[in-house]
Amino acid sequence: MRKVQQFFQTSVYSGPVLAIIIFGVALALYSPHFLQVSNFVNISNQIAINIIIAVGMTILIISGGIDLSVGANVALTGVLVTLYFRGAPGGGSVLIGIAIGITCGALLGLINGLIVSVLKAPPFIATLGTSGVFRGIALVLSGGRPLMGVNEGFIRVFSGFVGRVPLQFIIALGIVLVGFITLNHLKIGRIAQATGGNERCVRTSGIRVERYKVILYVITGVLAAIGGMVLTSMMAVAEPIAGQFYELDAVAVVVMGGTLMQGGKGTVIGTLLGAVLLGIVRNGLNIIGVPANYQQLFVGLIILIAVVAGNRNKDRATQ
Amino acid sequence: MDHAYVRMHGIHKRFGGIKALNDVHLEVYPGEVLGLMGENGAGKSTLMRILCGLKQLDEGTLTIGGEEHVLRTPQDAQQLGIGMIPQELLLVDALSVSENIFLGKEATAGFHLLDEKSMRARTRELLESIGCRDLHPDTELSRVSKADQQMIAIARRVVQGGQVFVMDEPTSALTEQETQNLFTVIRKLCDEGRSVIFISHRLEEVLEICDRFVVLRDGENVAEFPNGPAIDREQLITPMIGSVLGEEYPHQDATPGECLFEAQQVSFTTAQGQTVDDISFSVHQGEVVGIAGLVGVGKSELAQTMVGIRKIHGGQFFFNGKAEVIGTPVKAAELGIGYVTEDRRGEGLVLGLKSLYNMTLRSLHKVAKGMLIRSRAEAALGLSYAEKLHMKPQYLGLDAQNLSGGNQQKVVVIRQLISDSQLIIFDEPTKGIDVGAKAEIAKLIGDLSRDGKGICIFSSEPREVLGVSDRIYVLNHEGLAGPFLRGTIDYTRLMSIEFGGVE
Amino acid sequence: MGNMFARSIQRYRGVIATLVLINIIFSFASEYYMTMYNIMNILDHSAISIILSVGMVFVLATGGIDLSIGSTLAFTGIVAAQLFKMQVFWPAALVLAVLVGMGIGFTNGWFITHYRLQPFIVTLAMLSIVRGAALILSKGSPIVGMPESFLQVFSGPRILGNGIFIALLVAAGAAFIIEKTAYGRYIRAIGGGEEAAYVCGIRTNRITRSVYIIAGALATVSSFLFMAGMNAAEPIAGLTTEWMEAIAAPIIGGNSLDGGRAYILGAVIGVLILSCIRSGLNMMGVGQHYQQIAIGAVIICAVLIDSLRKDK
Repeated sequence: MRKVQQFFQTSVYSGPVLAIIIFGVALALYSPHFLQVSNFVNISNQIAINIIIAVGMTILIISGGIDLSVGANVALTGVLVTLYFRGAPGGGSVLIGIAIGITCGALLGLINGLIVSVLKAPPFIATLGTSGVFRGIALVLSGGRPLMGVNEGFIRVFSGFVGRVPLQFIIALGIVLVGFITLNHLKIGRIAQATGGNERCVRTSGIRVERYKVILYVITGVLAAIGGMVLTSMMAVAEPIAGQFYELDAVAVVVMGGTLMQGGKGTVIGTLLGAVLLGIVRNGLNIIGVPANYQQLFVGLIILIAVVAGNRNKDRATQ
Repeated sequence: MDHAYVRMHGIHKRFGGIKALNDVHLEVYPGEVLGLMGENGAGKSTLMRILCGLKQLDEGTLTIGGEEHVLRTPQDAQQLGIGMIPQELLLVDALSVSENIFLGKEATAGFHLLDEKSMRARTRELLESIGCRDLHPDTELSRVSKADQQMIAIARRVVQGGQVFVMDEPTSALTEQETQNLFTVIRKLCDEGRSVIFISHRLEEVLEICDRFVVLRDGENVAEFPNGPAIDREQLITPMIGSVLGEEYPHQDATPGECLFEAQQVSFTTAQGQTVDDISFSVHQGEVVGIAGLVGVGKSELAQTMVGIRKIHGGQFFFNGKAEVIGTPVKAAELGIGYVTEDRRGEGLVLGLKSLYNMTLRSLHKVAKGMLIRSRAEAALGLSYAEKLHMKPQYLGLDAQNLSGGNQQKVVVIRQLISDSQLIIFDEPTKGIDVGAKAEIAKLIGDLSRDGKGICIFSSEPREVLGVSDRIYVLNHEGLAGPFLRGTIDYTRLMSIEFGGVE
Repeated sequence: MGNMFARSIQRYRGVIATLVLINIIFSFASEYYMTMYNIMNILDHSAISIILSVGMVFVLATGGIDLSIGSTLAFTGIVAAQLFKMQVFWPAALVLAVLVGMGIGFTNGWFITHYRLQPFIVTLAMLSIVRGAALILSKGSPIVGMPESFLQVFSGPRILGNGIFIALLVAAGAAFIIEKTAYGRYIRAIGGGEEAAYVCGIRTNRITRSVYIIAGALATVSSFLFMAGMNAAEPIAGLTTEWMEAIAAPIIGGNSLDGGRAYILGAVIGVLILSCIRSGLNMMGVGQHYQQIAIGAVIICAVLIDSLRKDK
């Protein structure tokens, strides 16, 4: 009990965990349906892509950057991969398809990274611009229409099941693990934290900040591409207008998970919790039977409440 | 001169357990330039911050214009006509000259409309009166030189209805000519019945402009000279320094080895845009070289040039006998030059990061296998250095922002040590560090040199330079003087070289 | 006055040159581009973005950002349309809608100043909340049928509707406030150095809140043009392009995300540049999709030019 108390007093995760518990208990009491396995399958299915994208966004925001082009990246990757499957004889190879998807994501990330770090453009507006470009390319390549003809094997890889656990959720958890290790145990994670905390210090210490920044954008791009492939396989179709507002969803769960928008501090696990919280809220609204139209409003409110509750600038709020 | 506009009486102020001000009194009369003198830490700035409503006094009374007042905010002080022109000026880069001067006090021609014409005219008038005829009221502030910005800050205070102007090191960014312009302005202000409290480390200037002096030492009044023009620098310095010092800095003689670092005829630009030419000096293995100089003379900039943060305009650096171009901090790190900055919070540390991580920031490759950081090796490495520097192990797990100044400084030093720096450059090594820790840092510097490192310290505290250095150079407006061997130069001589080479 | 004109030319010569260049290129590329009809068309299409951009300039000047204006556009439109349906005298309905828009802006500003939160995340949450509210109030479908006299005022009978005149009026008013009142200075001072502004006795929190209120009010005004153009209020109006352009256009026009600048005319020209590119590419038979690429590229170029300028 002591430990539990201590957790809620000191842990950075206490906010989202508490919210998840409250919502979970309330929903379980309200509807027996909530605690059913099929419902958890449902939730995990819905939040997988958000988690995958948000992990990259977490590390990027911690390093003081942001990438608003991930939504467009999702669409473009899906379109490219599907075009390959359509064009290749016999539906193409799954592995090559995945390779194309990841290369595409890496390349888009590289473009963002070079613009931001080498050309020193502010990341917010620069990635807003590349977002338009990427989405435009997706629209051009697909002719603006949804593309059918996704390889069956590819669909199985990304949206199969292990037992009753959706494969994409396992992928998402795997990426959370990789993200956790990257942030806490790899050099680049450490440098990301330091750069977001005080870029000048890192620079004057003789560390090649630009190089690390580019790599971080590439990682974010690759993860968005994986998200794009998961989405494509889930839908069995590539939509050039897919992934709209995914970037905002990702930023929202990152911040709900306690990561500071101004960089320097944050956790991947927090992001996971943020995504779970958002997923449960959406699911719960469905269960309660809140009309779809109300859901967006509640989601926004939850984001706002989470941010205010986890706010660490409060001490400075007196003026 | 009977009616003081400001009368501070019996002022006490404590920070924690330390008495910053002890029964201090200060009067300011209309139309005078009051020189407030004292060394770093004498209590000048605390006293001024109290006067300007930026700090609260613990005990004592503050009488302004004949009435007793309690100042809670800077606005309270401003309403009574008292305002500081801080060193950082606090102007808005994005606004024009005229907009800055009138910020918060815009002239309106009824109906909330700005009266541009009158403001521009008044700006021109003000600029003219302070000798900035070439400045256009519409120029954006970011295009205005530091010297002119100083004048603009003064003009702003005038517009905001200043009666008493507190000027903190106003000339540190100014050339000789610009300083003379400033003095003209100050005299004009005084002729109009306003008063100026002038704080400066430059004795020549102080002696030239001030009508009266008040000297503080260790938070107490130690001397007052009502007739400013009549006194000379010796009279003024003596009370500032006080008694002859004891052995504050333990020192063992070093045995210098090979020449590690050499600068030949280096030139660079200071933050204020002045060029410093022809700087030559050397640092050997196993010795501490001290470079003394006043605030703003370009010491920090020289240090930054040595580690590739600032551009070198001419001359050459040699490291281990080889000519090297140090164009980026990356290059400096590769050579093994470590830099302990003056600006610990802004540049030296990632405040939100654990101390241990701050220590290993520059040498992650040492504790990593490929990309993976081995936490145990990292902790062990940090711990071994922490022990060596007498730092408690539990500090390693704390964020850097939660450490005291002395421990923060150790963290930065350890970063340089872990990365095998052969030459360690200290810029103001004990700035913002309390007295006990100061001695410890000084001892640490000595220990490092005995381990064979080359140490170069830049400091505006003469005692520190005299205490820890084996060889001493002095940077002043004319260039770099020295070297002087330890023991061949004393406080007074060092000071007088700092103040402009009067020997 | 002549002085101010000269300064404007100096400040905006880059964007003006770009606008002229684009027009020259397109008029050679397509004979239909430089026709009266097309020019009117371009202006007509720019009106909504101009009004939104003007609001954004105020926010950007303080160093903030408002992502929620697209949702505000939709929601206040629905509010007005519902009031129309309830037979409220239409000008009164519009006033009420503007008050609602200001309320949304105030909420943004209050969270930002009271809790010291990042404008990005607050207005992101508000984007979702307000869009949800629009969907709820409209039950998810457009509300069709606007009062006749309302249509006449905001759309007008001619090809060139009244919209662009309203937009230019708004822009002129905003430029006047920014150039001619102390308020205009204060918002730039807050963006350029909040501490300096505070020390000069400016109520920084109050002024920060006010810019979000202005952005909300102008989003509402732009929703009137939207409704008049469509003869309907759409809960999904302003979903993507509007707010993205409302940020991009001011940046193209020389404003900065770091705050301190408030270039209204720049933002207007920025909108026109984007509209001309759209129209020109249309005329040349370049598809919508390529247009999106081109516009993204323009935004990137604009920030690159800005960051190069800063380097110098």
